Amino acid sequence: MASAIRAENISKTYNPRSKNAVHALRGVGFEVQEGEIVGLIGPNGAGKSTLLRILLGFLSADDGGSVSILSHHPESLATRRQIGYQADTQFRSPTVRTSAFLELHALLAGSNNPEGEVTDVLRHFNLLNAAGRKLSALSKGMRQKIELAVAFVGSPKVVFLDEPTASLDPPSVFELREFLTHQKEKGTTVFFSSHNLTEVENVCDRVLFILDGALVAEHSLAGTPPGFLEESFRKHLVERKPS
Amino acid sequence: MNRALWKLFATEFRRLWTVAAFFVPIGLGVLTTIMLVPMALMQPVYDIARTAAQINLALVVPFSAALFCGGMISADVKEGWLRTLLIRPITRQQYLLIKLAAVFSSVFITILVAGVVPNIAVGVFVAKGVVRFEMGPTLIAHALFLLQALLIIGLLAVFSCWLPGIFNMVALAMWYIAAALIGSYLQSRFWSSEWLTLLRDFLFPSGFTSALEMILGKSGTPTSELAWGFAAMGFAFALAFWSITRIEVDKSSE
Repeated sequence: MASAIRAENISKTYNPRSKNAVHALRGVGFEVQEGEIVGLIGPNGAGKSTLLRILLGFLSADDGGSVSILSHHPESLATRRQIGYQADTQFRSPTVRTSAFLELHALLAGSNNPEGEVTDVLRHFNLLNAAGRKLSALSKGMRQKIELAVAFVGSPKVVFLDEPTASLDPPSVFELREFLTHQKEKGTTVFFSSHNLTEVENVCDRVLFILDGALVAEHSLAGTPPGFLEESFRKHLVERKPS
Repeated sequence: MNRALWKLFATEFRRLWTVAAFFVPIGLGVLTTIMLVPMALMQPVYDIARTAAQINLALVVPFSAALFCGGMISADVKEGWLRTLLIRPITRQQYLLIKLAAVFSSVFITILVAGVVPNIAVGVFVAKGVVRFEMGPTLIAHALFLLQALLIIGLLAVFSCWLPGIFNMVALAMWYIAAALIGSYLQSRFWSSEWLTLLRDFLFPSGFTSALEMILGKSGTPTSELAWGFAAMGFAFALAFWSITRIEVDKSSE
């Protein structure tokens, strides 16, 4: 199987010349194979969002590391044609309607049938009633679902999700789980950060633990008993963390 | 991809026209009418091209450009719009070009509503004296307003890559004040110094406005003024396109 995401020796220091320099990432390296669903777990401030942003090319890493997505540089147009991203912040516009927002993304992603694809993704996320509404008029949970829909329009090969279940109600979490299972069957690679251990355990093939900017462990979840992830979380992230 | 870029243009244009934005052309139109009516009542000759120059250069062009362009890039970074767009296969340069086109279209509409329509209406319905309308100078004057608007949009695009929205307005206002104060000081004290004149024209480019004065005053062909104007505009856009490649799409830390 080919590698979908490869990160080698990624470090990131915010305000490097200041006395208050923050070492957000320290020599992170891992690989995600095509078709895998991999979860990134860590407490608040562990470096999850920073890592996602570096993988997507939105933030520059310190010198010495490298990232490739489907064998291309993350900022290359070749990569951009094949990826989707759900951000942890939600775009709100008082003038743009949901359907227009999704259609724009479908067109930019190179879809030949943007209207049909938008209807499909809205149906999957149970958002058909929000199609004609302006983004600013939607609830937080609905906007979260719109961001998820944006990540999947254009049938991307690799999708990055940043806390995908953060604002979702339980029925929406079930919908997302079903949708991700469907995406896995289609061969889509998904890399997501989450606090929700149950979701990660239900959906992911593999999990990476991050603490204080460093990857501290990695586990395959195939055939693991229920509660395995919680136990691992305690072992790797709670007990290790200095009080 | 063309359809995608058209859709992006339409979306960017739509994003600019919030409910508050509709008050920009309406408010400026009311202001220009208030300015034009006394002129139309008191002046023996109401020259459409000259009044257009007065209201557009002093009021409509700078204000509409500032209100539509202020913080246009920094706001997109802050709201996450740039991040959501650049995940797609479009370049930063394409994004900026489309953004500038949407802003310029909005400024164009504002000039039409707040600068052209009141001027003609006041000339037709209110003016007591002779109304002078010469098609050639009027069209050239309006073309020069649009070029001046483009120059200001270019400058604001540069500011908005590096400064938050409100500071864009402050920077533009300071630039206007400095142009008026320092420019007139250099003009009055050092008018014979070629180097200082050159420096003044570089820091506060007034090529298009000088060209307009020459055309309306029928004092020759403004070749060098236009060249200065285009050079300044080119420089502003080059800086804007360089700046958009340098900014970080996501400045926040976790």
